[in-house]
Amino acid sequence: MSRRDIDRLLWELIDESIAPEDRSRLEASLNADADARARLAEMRTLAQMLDSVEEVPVPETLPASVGQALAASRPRTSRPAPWWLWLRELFAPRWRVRLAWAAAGLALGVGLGILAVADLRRSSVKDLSRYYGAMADGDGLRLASSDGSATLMLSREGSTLQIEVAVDRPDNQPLDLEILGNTLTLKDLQSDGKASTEVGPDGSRIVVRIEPASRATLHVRAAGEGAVVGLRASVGESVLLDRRIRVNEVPGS
Amino acid sequence: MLVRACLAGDASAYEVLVQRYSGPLYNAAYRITHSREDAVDAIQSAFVNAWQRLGSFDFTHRFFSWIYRIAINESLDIVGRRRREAVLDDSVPVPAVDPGAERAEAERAELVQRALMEIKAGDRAIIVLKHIRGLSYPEIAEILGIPEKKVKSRLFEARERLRRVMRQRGWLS
Repeated sequence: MSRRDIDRLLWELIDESIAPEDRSRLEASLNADADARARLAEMRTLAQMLDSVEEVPVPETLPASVGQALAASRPRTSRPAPWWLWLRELFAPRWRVRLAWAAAGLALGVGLGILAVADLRRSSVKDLSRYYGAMADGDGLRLASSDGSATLMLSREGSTLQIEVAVDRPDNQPLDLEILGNTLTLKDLQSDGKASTEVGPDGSRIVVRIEPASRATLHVRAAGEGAVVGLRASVGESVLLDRRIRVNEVPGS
Repeated sequence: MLVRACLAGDASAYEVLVQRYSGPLYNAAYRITHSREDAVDAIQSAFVNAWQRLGSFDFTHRFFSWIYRIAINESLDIVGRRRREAVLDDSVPVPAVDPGAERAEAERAELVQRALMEIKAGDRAIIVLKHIRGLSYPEIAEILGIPEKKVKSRLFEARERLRRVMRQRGWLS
């Protein structure tokens, strides 16, 4: 063993994290190497000095001063957003701005024939969503658009997410929902209209494209209830959300 | 859960979090910045930033590690800003270690702190988390957002640099 290897093991010995087989090797080295023993003594002294450093008293005014700093930083009256805000953002009421962009994008897109390209990532048409509002109920998380043109419901059973998406957009732009995770399995996809999927070979990515005027229900099994799943929704090149959730945070059984 | 209560609009829940974590965070910040004033600034900023970003809190992590990470980063930022403004004053007499002296423990702590201030702030932070805050490898890994193996490796390098400084100063004999 090199000196560096020995020193690394010496620290592991002090931390009591050394593997049994390494301990045997190290003890053999220590028996034969006085310099290593001296270094061990030095390391122990240092560790003891560090471990014996006492806490400094916390200023009594610290919590109050934190409170003041919080108040000063918070001219707004709103509270922090709930975890499912990203879903509301999907249906954000900033539709007027988006409508303008989308109209321009749509004209350009039609002109260039981009809409005819079947590549999920090629559309240049901006978001035209009119979605707003998110409501959690006992069965899941339900979202509805102002004009009823789209709804999305997330629920789960065990480690399987059920995602129901209904799209009836006046601009005829499809919604792409990308699900990212580890060993995801698309159990089924049912649709009464146009819906298509792309499933990555290693189960790390599932993309569902839902065309307007159709309803799709898909079941995606994650690696476990504690697994983290990424959800990314987009219309054209406009990303509406890019967020990870843990499966067991979705309402359901 | 307190974070969920905060998100539901319960401001008093955040006060509980501040009360619970301000002490440990202040101590870590103080050891990194070696300044009570800077430590207070770091902790204030950490809690304000955490509050403002609470909506994006990832529930796959613990609040403990999240707020620790923010506080460590605030402390390192402050150290970075102060670096040009203040240089450790070597003219200050170094107290001799006398185990029999009444203030021996305090003096040893002062030596440790002085040595810590001679190594890089990032090295200092990981040593503070391990030895002075007494956190485990998995906890440090979660706070720093690096694998446990990397924690061990960085800790080894940091402690070796600290040992070198202390040996050169004659503070380990």
